Parts: sequence; structure tokens; C-alpha cells
Amino acid sequence: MKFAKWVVDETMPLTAGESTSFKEMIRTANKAITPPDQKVLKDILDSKKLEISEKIKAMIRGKYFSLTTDHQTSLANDNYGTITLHFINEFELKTFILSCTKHENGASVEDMVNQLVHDMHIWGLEKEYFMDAVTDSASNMNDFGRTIEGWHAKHLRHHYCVDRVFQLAAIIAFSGNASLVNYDEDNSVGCLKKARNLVSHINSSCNANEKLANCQQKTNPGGVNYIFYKMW
Amino acid sequence: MVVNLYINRKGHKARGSVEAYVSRCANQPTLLEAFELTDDDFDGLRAILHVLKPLSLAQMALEGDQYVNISLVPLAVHHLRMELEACQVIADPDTKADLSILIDRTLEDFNSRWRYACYYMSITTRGGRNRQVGISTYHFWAMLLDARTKKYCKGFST
Repeated sequence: MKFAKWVVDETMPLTAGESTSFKEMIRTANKAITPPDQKVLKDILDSKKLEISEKIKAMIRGKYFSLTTDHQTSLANDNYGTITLHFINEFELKTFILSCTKHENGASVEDMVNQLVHDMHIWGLEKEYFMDAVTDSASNMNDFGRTIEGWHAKHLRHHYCVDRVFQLAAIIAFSGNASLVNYDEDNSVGCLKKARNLVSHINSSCNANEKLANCQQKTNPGGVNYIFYKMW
Repeated sequence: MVVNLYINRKGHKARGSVEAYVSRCANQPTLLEAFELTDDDFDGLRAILHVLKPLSLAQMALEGDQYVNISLVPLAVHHLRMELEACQVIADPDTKADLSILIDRTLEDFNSRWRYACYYMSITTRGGRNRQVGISTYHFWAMLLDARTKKYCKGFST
């Protein structure tokens, strides 16, 4: 069990126990110990998952809950939808990820609704206790929210992530479309374009990053190194 | 983002190192010279930072999952609108035309998402592209139940 916990905590591959050098290292410490292979490890994790699932189901039974959903694209360009459960147990906010599912060809409204219905069924979540679904304000999530509001569950409302909506208001400033009508005469916003070009240059070059770090050490010895946002 | 270019959250100014970096590169003729930030540029960045700072603070207040913060939303929206409107008044359209346009558009976008005033509605209303508009009922309920915010409820019309 401790080995399984280590694999999960350190995000190690399930085949970690099959590594020859790892086995040798363990045997050096104790010849009687053989690390579990992938099959045994999966069995341990499955039984632990079942045990925890039952505990969560018992904990959530009869309690009001909210769900947050989001989808993200991996480095391999695969789309994943995640549903997270939130509820209050003995005055303490509890959060559990219910599922993280790969969606072929992007996460459509139907995909997300199916994932939600499946999760609610698996985890024994009842619509009458469903208070709130929070999503971003992307068009598919907007339609997702409208669809579940159509369930006419007693308390269910769909909300946008407020933090994200505030972010969208700020993005106008960085879009480059807000202004620059008289770039030559008025530099009050044109400076953003210059700053963005500078940041892009620094982010795209290892040498530039190193030189900037050296300059930071000279101007502020021992100080914090500034991180330049790559999203810009 | 500019916030991170200009200052980090601990308040150390990055300007010195950026200037040192650009001037160092400027000793060699490179394209980078065109991007050298002047005093006016830093003034412009400071002005934009001033406009965006309330949004940044509101986002920080709403981040985190260890406590309930949905009750802060109506207050955050109310104060953000006031801050943006104050910036709109301060920005001189004659000397800072671009900045003035930027603030106008930011405020227009903000109001299109949150309406022109904060008030309670029991139903969800939708605007362009079927998107929700305004502050949701649950935000006001949470505000009323939260000891930190319930005293401000009277300020919001129904």
C-alpha cells in the first residue's frame, strides 16, 4: 500500500516496480522485499478506488452539491473534459474530481452532458440536490448550461466562472484591437505593442532569457527573478 | 501580462533590469533597439496598469478554494464599475486618446456582461450569443447570508 501511495504521490509510472535498477536498489536495502509489478499495483489501486468511492458516496448522500466543469487541450492536442464535485461536509468545503474524460474531436455539448449524466449516475448524485454548475463562458459551455437548466431541477442554476469573465474584460487591453488609432502621435496604448514585442523576443530566445536574468542580478542582486508570461 | 512585466506581486520593479537588458543589447545594432521602452512608454504602461489593477485585485479576491467567496461577487462588480468609470473621467481624450478609447471599450464590454447597474433579478437573463447577463440570484443570496457582506445588501436595488 505504501508503494502504491508513493507511485500516486510522485506521479510515477505504474511500471516503476518492474524497473531492474529500482528492484536492485530495494534489494540492497532489504533482500526480502520485491516491489509489486504493474498488475498487482493496478489491483491495489482499484481496490483503493472502490473503497474511497464508497466513502465519498456515503459522505455526499443527502447533501447539496455543486459541480465545476472545464476542458483543456493536452500537448498531444487531445481534448479532455473534467468534472469536479464540491460540497460542504461538517462545515468544511470538500472537493473531488469525478472524472477526466478524453473527447474525440473536441468537447461538444452532447459529450459534456453525457459525461455529467454518467458521473451523476456512477456517484449516486441526485438532481434534487444539484445546486450549481459552474463553467467558463465559451459557447459550448454556455449551451451546456442551458441544456442542464432544461432539466428543471429544483435548485439548479448555471453560472459562469466570474474570475474568467473579469479576465475577459482585461484581455481587451492586450488584444491590440482596442486602440492604436493614432500610433505616431499618441503613445498611451502603443507602448503595449512595444512591450509585447519585447516580451515575445525574450520568451523566444534562450540567450535573451539568460541575458535578462544577468541584468536582473546586476540591478537587483539576490532579488526575485521576474517571470515573463508566455501567453502574451 | 503587463502586471508581471512591470511589477510582480511583491512589488519589485522590473523596469531597471528591462532597461539594462535593452541598453546592453542596444550596444550591438539589433532589431531590439526598436522595442526600447522610453519614459513615455513606461508612463503609458503605468496608466494601463492603473486601469487594470482593480480587475487584478478582484480576481485575486475570488481565487482560492478554501473559503466561500461567491458572496463577494456583487461588491466586486460594483466597485470595478466605479473604478472604470473613474478612470474614464480622468483619462483626457485630447492628450490620451488611445487610453481613453481603451477604457471606453473595457467599460462597454464590462457593462455588456454585468449590466449598467447591479440589481437583483430572480430569473437568468441572456444577452448576445445567449450569454448570461448580470449578477445571478445565488450571488445575492450568498451576499445576504455572509456576515462580511450582508450589511451592503441595502445598496443594491431590486
